[in-house]
Amino acid sequence: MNQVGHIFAKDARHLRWEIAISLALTAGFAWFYPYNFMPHTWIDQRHAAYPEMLGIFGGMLIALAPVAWWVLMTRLIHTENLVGDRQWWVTKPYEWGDLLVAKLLSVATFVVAPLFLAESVMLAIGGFKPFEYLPSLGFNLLLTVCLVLLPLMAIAVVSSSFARMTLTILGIAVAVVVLVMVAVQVAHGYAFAAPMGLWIDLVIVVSGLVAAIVWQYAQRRVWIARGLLGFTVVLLGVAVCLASTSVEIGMQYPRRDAPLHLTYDAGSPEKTFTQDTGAHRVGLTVPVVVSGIAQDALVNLDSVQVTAVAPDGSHWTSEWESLWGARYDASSKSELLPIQVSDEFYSKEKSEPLTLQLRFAVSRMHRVGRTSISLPTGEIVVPGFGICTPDVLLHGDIGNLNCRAALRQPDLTLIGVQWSDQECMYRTPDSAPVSGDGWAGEASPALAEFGLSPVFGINLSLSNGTRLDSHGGNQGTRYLCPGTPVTFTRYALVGRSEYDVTFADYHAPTMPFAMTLQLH
Amino acid sequence: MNATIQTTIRTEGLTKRFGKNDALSGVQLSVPEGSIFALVGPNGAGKTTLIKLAMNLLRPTAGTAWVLGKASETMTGRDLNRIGYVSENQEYPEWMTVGAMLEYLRPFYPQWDVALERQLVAGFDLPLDRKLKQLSRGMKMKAAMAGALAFRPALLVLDEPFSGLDPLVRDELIEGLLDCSPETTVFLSSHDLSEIESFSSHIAYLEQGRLLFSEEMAVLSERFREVTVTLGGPRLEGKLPGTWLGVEATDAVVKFVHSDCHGEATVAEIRQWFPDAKALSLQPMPLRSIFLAVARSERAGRAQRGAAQERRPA
Repeated sequence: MNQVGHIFAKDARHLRWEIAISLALTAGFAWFYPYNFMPHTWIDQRHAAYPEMLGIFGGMLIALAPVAWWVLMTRLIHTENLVGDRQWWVTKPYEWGDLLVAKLLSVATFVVAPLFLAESVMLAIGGFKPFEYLPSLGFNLLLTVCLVLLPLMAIAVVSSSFARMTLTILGIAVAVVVLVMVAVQVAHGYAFAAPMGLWIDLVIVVSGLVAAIVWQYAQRRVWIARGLLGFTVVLLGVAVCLASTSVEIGMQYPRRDAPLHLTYDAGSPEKTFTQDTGAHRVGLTVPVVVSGIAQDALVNLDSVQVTAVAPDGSHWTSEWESLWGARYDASSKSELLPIQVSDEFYSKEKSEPLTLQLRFAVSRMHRVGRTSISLPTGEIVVPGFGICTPDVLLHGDIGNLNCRAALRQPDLTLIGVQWSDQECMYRTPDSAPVSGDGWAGEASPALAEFGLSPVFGINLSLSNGTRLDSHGGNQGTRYLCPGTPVTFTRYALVGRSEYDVTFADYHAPTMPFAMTLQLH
Repeated sequence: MNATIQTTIRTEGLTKRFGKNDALSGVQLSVPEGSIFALVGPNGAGKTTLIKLAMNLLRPTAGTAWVLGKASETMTGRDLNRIGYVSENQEYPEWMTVGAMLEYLRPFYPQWDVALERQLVAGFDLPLDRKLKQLSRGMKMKAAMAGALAFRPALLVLDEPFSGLDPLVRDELIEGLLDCSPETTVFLSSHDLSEIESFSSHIAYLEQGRLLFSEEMAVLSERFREVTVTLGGPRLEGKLPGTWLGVEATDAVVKFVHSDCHGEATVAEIRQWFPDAKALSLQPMPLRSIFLAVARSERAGRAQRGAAQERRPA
């Protein structure tokens, strides 16, 4: 007899209502969630009475569908409960391997496959061809299995009832919150793309969960399985606590030839200013001259570690801190580099010339493609980036671009546009356009991001979208006109490296009086 | 016991400890093939624990239980297709109808006998379309019994199968048991001594986790006699034989249970103790009386040993 099929058929019959509810919620999620990411033009075509409500409903379903999966999976596993010695089935000739495969088959059939279909439908609604994204879809589902379904299954196999399982989940939620708080404390200020530690943590979690599930099915020794899960949590905690930023930077950013050169520009006309960033830190800007960047290359300063040395030899060293927006190309010349020092060190040494020893974690990128198009009023499909929909205003002017990507943020892309100061219908041939640009995407995105929705909105902020007077006052918005050029320049990661530089004789700027009061 | 007789269940030093409590202590037991072997004893004696160890529902602290030639701890699902198991406190798939349960079980057992299944369903008068949760306790036990007998198991394990059932259902279950094939070994635990006396071939007695005896029912019945001696001379003096249980003596009469009776030899032995006896009567005992005598004697012995230990200087 094929036990797998026999058990599967029995479960499908027994849990038909749970399965039906789960499928209905998943289908509803696929149908209504697009109201959250699709442009108004698409929503208007639906002629829905209350489109905002439908979007909220879709948002509720994205939370309810996992609850339905949880109930279904728990009932599925508890039909052949693995905890206790009074169950009917344990005295019947079940083969544990077949039982485990039957349960996995049920989860795959009634949870994973419908989710795959739902994501494919949402991709199709979003304008993406699902077959072109099969590897990403597969990776996304793998993340969902590892981070949602596997933990639920592991808890179910060591719980005797739904109530006990719920309590266990609450307990684990508290433990995870504590773990995250510890991790935040340990890794203070440390953040950059795809840290390796997360993958190590994922491997620990998945290994521990799989071991506990297989062990429990093979042996039904619940305390050992619970011990395995507990050990996994402890191991995860240890891994998080031992995660050393320096080690991680050392592994991901080897010392090699720097893709840029920075020199301290003491005579820069650029204003340097100071601000209190909170957390006992003072933000400073260092004027630098950028050089040595190859054509078509882009250099991103991901993180920095600052050591400030006073003339008397006293010094202060920061943690590795993220640097947001420190991104340079061959055209970059004079820039202001944002750094932070402790408020105590600043107060003591602000009048002294300092030596700044800066260690940078640097990502090197190379231009891989450039797409130039004439701005239409309809959707723009940008290969390798996503789909953008112009936000068409009353008279056919375009206010902005709403872009979406499939399963992950796109590669790092610079979007360039030509703004018009006048509404498009009043634009004259001699009106000078104003350039605007904005960055979108990530330097090295994973194959897919974790999430139930396969379509991501792209956060796009284009510069110069507002007319300003000479004092910085708002003079109104600018417009994008149909037919004007839009460029999408995509960059791909070439490599990472560590870059050390020392700036001597740096004079920290004086903090404004009001901030000084705050500081003290 | 004849050494050539195959054993279906054999335990060697089987011990199970829950925390500091010994539920079973070094139990040595042999259940011969084809026997109807009753495991009896008071509540908490360890009967269910022994059965669960044999069925690999619990792991022994020490020792081994061999079931159908395999150590119970190593039994897999495949080994269970020759073993039927029914327990009074099992969690059944209450959502299934009787028919669905039998239909579900059928493919698990290659040797499932559909004709026998029909016969059992008819004999037990089982409503196939009723869900287990809608059945009375007795009907549920009958449904479970049908599922355990229909594949003609080599071993049928029953844990308190008759507990709390009305006499009619009990009779039906026992009938079902007796109808099962002669090569099936039945290993059951029960409180119901009068019931098992009527059909068991072997019997074992557990008391506080220890096996006090295990033997054929016929031998046991022969071994125990209720002895009444009408005295014609002086009262009984000296240390009495250990085989005399629950001795009660008045000026005129001595009563006790002889636990190792061998016909005339025993009569002669008793007469040596009471040479002036006016009358001597040795009566066969029902199983219930035998167990009461053994249990009381065991408890009295334990109390004496405990008192002796307390008196012993530290």
